[in-house]
Amino acid sequence: MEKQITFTIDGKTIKASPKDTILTAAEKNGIVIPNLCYNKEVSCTAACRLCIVKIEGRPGFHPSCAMKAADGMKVKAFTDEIEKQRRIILDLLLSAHNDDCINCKKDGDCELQDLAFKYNLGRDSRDFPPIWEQLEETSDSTSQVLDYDATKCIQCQRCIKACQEKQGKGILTFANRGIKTTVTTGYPQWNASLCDGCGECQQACPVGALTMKPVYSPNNRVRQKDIEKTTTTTCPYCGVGCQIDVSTINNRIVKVDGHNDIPNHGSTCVKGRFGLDFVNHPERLTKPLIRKDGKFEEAEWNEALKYTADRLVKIKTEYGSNSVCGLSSARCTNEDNYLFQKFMRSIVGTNNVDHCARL
Amino acid sequence: MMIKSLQELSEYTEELSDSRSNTGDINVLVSLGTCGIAAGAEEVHKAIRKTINENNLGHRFNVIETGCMGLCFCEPSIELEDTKNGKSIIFGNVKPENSEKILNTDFQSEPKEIDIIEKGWYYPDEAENTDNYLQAKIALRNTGRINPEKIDDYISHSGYKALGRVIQDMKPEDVIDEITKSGLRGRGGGGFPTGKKWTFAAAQSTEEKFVICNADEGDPGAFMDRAVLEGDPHSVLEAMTIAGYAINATKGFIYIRAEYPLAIERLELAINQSREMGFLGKNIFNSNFSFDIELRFGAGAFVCGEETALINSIQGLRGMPSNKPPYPAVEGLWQKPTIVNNVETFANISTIIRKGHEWFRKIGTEDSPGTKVFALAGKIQNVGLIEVPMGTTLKNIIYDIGNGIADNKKFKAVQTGGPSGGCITPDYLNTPIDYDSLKKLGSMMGSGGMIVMDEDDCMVDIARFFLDFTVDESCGKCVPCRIGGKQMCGLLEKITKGKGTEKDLRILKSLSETIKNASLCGLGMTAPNPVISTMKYFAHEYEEHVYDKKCRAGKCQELITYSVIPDKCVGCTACKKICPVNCISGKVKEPHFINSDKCIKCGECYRVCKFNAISKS
Repeated sequence: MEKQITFTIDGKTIKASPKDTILTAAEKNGIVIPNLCYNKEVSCTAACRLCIVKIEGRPGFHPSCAMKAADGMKVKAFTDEIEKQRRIILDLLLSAHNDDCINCKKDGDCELQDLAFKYNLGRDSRDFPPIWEQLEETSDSTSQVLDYDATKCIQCQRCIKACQEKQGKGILTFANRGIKTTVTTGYPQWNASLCDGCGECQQACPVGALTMKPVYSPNNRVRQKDIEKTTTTTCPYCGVGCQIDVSTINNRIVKVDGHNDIPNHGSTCVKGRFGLDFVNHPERLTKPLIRKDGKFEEAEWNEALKYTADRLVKIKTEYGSNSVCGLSSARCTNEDNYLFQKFMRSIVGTNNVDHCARL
Repeated sequence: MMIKSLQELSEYTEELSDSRSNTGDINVLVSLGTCGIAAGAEEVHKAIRKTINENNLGHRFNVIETGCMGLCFCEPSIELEDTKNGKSIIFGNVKPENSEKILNTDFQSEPKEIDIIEKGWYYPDEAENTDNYLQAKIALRNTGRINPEKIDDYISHSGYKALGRVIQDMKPEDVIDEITKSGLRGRGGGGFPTGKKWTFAAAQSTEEKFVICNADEGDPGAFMDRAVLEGDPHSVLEAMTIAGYAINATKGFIYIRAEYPLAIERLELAINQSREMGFLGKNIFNSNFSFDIELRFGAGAFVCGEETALINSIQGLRGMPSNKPPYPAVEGLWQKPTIVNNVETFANISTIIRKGHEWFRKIGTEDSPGTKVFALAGKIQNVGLIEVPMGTTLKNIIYDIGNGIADNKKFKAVQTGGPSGGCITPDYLNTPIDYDSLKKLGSMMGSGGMIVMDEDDCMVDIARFFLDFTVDESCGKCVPCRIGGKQMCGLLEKITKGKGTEKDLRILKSLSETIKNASLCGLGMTAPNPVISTMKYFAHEYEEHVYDKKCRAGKCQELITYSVIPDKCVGCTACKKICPVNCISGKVKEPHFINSDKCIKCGECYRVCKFNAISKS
């Protein structure tokens, strides 16, 4: 068994693995140290400085997301002094953030909003004047599926790192420096870049800077809190079998997120996230069709299966096995595809089998 | 020619000195650094050469084109040095037509019409003989004395002797031990013990390690690294190779800002010369040790002087700092152990090896041995580059070397440590300067910028000026520096405009503490220093701006009113004519009047009045 380490946070004894940072160890023990740039899926950034703590014997403040927990460490995480710094940092963040929460897609699902509420930082309680309007940052909504609102961006780098480290794409980066720093694809417009729209970035965004376009409900803006039901299911697109969270209102899909489990660990591709609109499409086939007198007619499953079996047997008997060929779909699972080729080879008796999984 | 042993090196050095004996006894050193060239040193150099040729004086004089001598206040400058008796004399503000007079100097009487430089700018041949001198040169020992483009000049000044000794006679741990015992501290700003840094890197068992020279000098007004690189590039190459041997690295990088084209040119030349003679490359001094150096160019970001940002930049990433730990000595360039030292630190190394740690410790103070190079700038008579033993007082520097405040104004403060440092007031002029004493005063050594301010400087405005710089140079990664700096600038601007409140002062104070405490890298942590130190030592100026809406230095435009003193005004109409907004009225030979509602406070009337009849309050 892995050796455990013991240390204290504000006097409370914490047991953790030697791999844990102070932040993750605290989290596992029910202590939530405020943070914004931390994302356990990607490498540590240590940029928001909200998770700073004090460690006995070491001068200064240290970001708990970047500091490994060590045996015997004495950590202070919630003293008045530290909380005062956090409040100032939050106040600063809010001064450079467009806080038009009423009209924000992330209202109610925003980590900055939650922290501002927790620290009682309403507009009247803040020390710093809003400066976000003077910054002339460049927003970009040219992507077909994503919107980047620079006035809401807090420069936490979660999107940049999700794109680079989780998707391996490296589309996003920072442009400019200092207070003018914004997220960019490096091209004048988002849609000129190589971004394929997987949406990993917006899933990582803690605020309303990077959001999905309302692909599923173009005429109806939806916030997280409007969602009635979220169902975890398997993505129907390819054999990987990504787990996805499908959110619905009134039994219609409004949003799809990657579900954090094997095999995809929260990620999903552009098709999985934005391509499920066929589910509610009026032209979607919901029953098998059989061509009768040159016209497709809806049929019941039993009838369709029987028709197919009869025809296959007839063709095989009359013209031989090699007169039949089978084409399967990449949208079936690996198991289904295995069974299909087995069926073609051993039942129909031909090697004429292929499928479309050449993505 | 390749040098393969210490023996061969000393033979070669002797050969060089033999060939020297054919030339003249008097060295004519012409300062040809970037600034010297800009001031016209090349024309002076040509004139000197011409005079020597025309008068057949080649047997008396030996002209040496050197790097910067540090005499910014009187460029172009020339030093005559009699090698027989060691006497020397420095001329400033030299014009081409002065060359004959200079060459006729007999070292006894001083020629008229040409400026002779004050005593404070001379220094002894050996840094430890400080009795009659204020300056002592270790890092700048060859800068301004040798031709940086000739490796032979460096070799005949004991160059590469330290490297030879290290490789032939010392184990890597002995080298680190020597540096540790010398007490050398990083000259780039932090003052971290160099030996300790090397020890950490040496202790790592990784196969690949790196040595980086940080030549991304960015503090406004600091140019000591440029002077070394332009004037003595081989000293840095030799020291980096010694460092490579000490920590077992085979590769070094010099990260130099692209704005230093002459330094880059001379470094490239020096690297090639060094490779040709076998001081860089494979099997140096016939040993198993191989080391080579490449240049990497910075693209003008101040933050890339921070070591982790510098490393990211070399790797081709955005120049943003990373959280420490891990420190570069453990996990640096491409995640391999790396030491990052600045130019001046490296420039000290070979002398320490050659003369020993005991010799080095004789100079400077107990906790900060050695010397420090400072760039004197601001409202001081003699602006320039100096090297003084640690522990020299600010008074010595400002009054004895710098010759006091320009235009007979009153000294107000001196900012050390560049935009990250703090202000020191007249009360502390007798403080011996070293790393710890400056820190105690709320400032820092930094890279050695020293900006002198006089009574015309408004301290709130100065704080805003430095903060403007750091806000502009913030990389944008962490919140306190990115947004905090900007907000702090806003508050200072509000105060200089006379719109500040008591609450603003309170917020300013707590904000500067937060930026200092919570920022990610050194840039952010030290950015509020100018504000913290001016608020501490010049609290009254802040209060005057806030409560009385007054700026005693007359610097903050919104707080000044210009008016005519009727008794002094003779009605010459000069002010009326120059006023761009026509807010001055009055008849000829009668006192004029300024309509302060219309006045835009450009100060033109104040400037043109010959009768001191305009008051600024």
